[in-house]
Amino acid sequence: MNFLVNLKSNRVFKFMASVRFSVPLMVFLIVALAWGTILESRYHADLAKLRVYDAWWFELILLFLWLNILASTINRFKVTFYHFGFLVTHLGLLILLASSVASNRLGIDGLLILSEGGTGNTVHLNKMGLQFVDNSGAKISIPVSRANDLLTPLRLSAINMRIKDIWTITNLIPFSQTSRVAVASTNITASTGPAVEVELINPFISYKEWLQNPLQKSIDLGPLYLALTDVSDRFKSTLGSLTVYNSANVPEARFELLENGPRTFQHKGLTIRVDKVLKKATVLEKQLVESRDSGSNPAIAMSVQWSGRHFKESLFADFPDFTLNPGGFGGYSLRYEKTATVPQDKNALFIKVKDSNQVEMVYFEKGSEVKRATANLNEKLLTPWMGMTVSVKNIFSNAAFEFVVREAPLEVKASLPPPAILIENSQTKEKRWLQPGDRWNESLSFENQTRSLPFTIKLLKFIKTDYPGTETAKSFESEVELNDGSRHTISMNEPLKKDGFTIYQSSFGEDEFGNQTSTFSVNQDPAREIKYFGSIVLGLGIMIFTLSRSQRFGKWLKTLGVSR
Amino acid sequence: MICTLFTLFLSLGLASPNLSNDFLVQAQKIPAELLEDLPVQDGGRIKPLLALSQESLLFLTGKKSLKGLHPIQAYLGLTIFSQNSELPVVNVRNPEIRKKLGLKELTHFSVVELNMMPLRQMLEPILRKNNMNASNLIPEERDWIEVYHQVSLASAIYSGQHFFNALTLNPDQSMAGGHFLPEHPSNPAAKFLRALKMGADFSNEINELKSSLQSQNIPSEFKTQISKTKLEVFYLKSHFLGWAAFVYFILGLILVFRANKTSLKVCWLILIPLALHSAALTIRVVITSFAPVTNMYGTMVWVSLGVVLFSLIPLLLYKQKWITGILWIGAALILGITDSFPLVLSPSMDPLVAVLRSNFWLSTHVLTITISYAAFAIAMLVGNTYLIGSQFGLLTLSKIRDLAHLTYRMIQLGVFLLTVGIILGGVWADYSWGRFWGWDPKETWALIADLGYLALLHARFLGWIRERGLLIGATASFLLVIMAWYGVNFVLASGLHSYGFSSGGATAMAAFVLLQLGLIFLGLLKERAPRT
Repeated sequence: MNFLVNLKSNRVFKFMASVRFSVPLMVFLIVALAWGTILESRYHADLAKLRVYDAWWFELILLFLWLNILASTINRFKVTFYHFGFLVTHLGLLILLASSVASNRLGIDGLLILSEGGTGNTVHLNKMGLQFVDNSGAKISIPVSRANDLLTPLRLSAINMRIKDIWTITNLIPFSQTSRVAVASTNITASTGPAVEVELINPFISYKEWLQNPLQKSIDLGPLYLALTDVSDRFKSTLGSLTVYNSANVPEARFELLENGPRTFQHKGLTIRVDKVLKKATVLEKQLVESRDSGSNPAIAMSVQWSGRHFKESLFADFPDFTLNPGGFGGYSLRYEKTATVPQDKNALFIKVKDSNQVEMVYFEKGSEVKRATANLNEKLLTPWMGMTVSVKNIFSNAAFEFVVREAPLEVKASLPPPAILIENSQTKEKRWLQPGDRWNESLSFENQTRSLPFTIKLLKFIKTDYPGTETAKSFESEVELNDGSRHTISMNEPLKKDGFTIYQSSFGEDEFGNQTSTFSVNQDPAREIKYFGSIVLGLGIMIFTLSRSQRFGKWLKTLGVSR
Repeated sequence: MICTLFTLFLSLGLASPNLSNDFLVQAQKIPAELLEDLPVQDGGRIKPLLALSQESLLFLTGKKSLKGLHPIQAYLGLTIFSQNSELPVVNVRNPEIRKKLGLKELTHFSVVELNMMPLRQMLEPILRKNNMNASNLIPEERDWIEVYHQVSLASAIYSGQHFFNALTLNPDQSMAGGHFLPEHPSNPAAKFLRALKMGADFSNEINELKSSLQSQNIPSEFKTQISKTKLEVFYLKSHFLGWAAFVYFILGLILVFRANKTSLKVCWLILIPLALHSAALTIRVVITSFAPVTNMYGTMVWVSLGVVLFSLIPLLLYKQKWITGILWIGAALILGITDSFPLVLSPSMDPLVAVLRSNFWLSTHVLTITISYAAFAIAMLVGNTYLIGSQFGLLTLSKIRDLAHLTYRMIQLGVFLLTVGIILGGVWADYSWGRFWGWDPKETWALIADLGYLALLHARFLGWIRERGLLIGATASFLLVIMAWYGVNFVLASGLHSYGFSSGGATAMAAFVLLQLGLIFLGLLKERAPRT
């Protein structure tokens, strides 16, 4: 009791226990909650959780509120009728708040998706985790939280300790986007080539993207097609090119096949005569002919004259190693390659790099050329269609194309961009960004955490019943069979309870094979009973509180012989 | 070209008086009373033709009927009138859309006229967006979709397809059965419409229509609903709620202005409108088989009933007749508004989405939450009585004390009911979604409102505010209730409680909020002025 007396005279405790502390806390809470609902309405429910409900400062407000209620309950603890309502109400609140936090931290809330006829027990939690296999072969998952909650700093340090021998998380971007960016390069490899960064702007959109040859030659934007090409004289070519390689496998000459029909090209001592270009070639009586079947097999039938002799040759774009003359023609070999074609059904812009400051742009409308212009770096040009301005922000004559992870802007009413974590291997010093679904190698991956149920569920059948004559669902239900052979029906408002897990009908869909799927939400809440107990105590408390302040009720009690 | 110009003139009104007259003459001949309780299928339930006609016309034209016609006369008249597509009946409600379509001065347009506008081109990208994710549409885009649905509905009514579909009481067999397929040679509905059109004697056709309606293979849940169509016709024609609102208002006026001369016996007259009000709610429950609080309309009717019930507390406990009178006027206003704007506050009794199909939880959780709004509404009404009364110096100190005491008790009652309601909602959510609390906007705003009132009670306990502060605070806190009740569904429109989402009424609601804030501001100014 002495302790209590000392405590009650402590100034900090007095403030913690006072209503002077609770009212500002409540007002803070109101503002924070309102802000959370606005974030949810404008962006996404998950953003409201990350920015408000799971944020450290919000948890701090709740913690202070809890301490405030606790202190005031201790401070005003008196077993009289007048105080009874107050005590019960605030005790109920304490239990309810504490058990809610406990469920949040200790409970499981995830999704289990089954196809009809399929069996499963893996629950995907709504939490990301870094999964790895430890030395003993056991799978370990470490939660990675995007919210800055009170426990995250502790958790992150725990991660570093547990896997510090091999991997360390060195950075976390809560909302990330990956993009490919061209970086000027002096090495010439199979994947480097010219690159430009193009910007398109009109009143509705602003779009900026890299084009690189050969990794991103073209981009299809729906009504508009962008391509980086090395042909700029005649774009009507839809037939491809013939390239002459020397003995070191370096291209020495390239001839564009602009139209069908016989044509002759010369390179060094070679005279090449193209007889015909075929879209779907097939061999009939030792001749290449156009097949009537659907599909494509682009090829050219040709003859080559070298040191006075004639050779027959057939080249296939899709089979570059095939040749009728395996020895080549004095060290030279030939290859037939398809090039980007001008689409017939949309607008198109083809760009060719002239030098490090200039590109040539050719505009097409429904397959035919409508305008041609030379553009300097950063020069804004008006397109002949769609009322856009186009400019080239970067030009590299040779560039490598690399993945870059960076902060993504949040868009109104769109799903949230995924998080990304930067992992460093402390032995090799190699660093790599991982987004959900990515893996470093066999043993380390970043994905949704999973939990295995102690039993398996087989989805026998999913039934959706509509109100007659409408597509409004009246009910969804799933017939399931557990591995103990028992059968159950799970429907909206009628969950299945087993071994502490509750399985709810959540939604439905189709898998990639077109089978009906059913989505269950799986939940385990160790504090459920406590929460319900707290709710009842709170409800009773307010009732007693309201009644005990009523003079009429007091008079009525007096007539029964109860004194206050 | 000349032809199009000609139709343009027709629809823009040059020939329109004649056209309207021809339409009226033909429609007035339709024997509407005989057809009122004809059971038809629409929106997933069986309803009388009267309800279908009213609802269709309301969506199409913005009113429950046309030019004083009986709703069925207007509905069937539109089907049989040969120049129906030239009648200006489609109500384009969004002025921004009218502007973009080049329609400025009028609000109603004919289908011919709308089809000549660049409507299709404007709609195409919006419809694509709607198919991908309807929840990403901005309000104006929703209104475009509404115009699209209005034009589709008009076309379906004009072709008779809408009527035929509604008569097919087993929609799942509509393809196979074909009683009412338009191309079916003995389609009794088509025969009936032909007879109507010719102005011939159609009594045989009506009988044939009714008997073939019954001979369909009707789903069992529809059979019980068919027996309720007469009751629904009675409900639609009796206007119980409008009458109840009117009587509340009159009795309220009597109590306010003649408080001292009115005996308590006169006050018992309140039981009459209360009975009408309760009867209307009961009939809705009988027709729909669920608690009548599944949309804004239902909750407002329920809250106004709660206000009247709780108003008996000051009347019986404190014998404060004039306060009770004000509360009755308030209830009459809430109920009157609810019953007067069917476009915004839809009185539709169409069935529930799957998650709400639990009568136990729907009744306990929603009824408890919304009845707490009634207690808070009383606190707000009393607070405003103080704000307005004190501006004109009408209130004595003892009257202010009475008002403050009533407000305090009502807030306590409301906090109790709201807290219990929130917890019940948590238990229901735990039971059917698997989580007790998920920071869903609807539950979060209910909590915000609860916290607002709790802050007020604690501040009163602390002495930070006194009687006047509590009265003003009760009006301010009710703005939080409005946000939880109306704002989440109509303004934020996000979250899991999506079944109540709607739009409209934002201007009126903003006007109310501004007026309330203005009153509070004036009240605070008066507080700060030195008292003599």
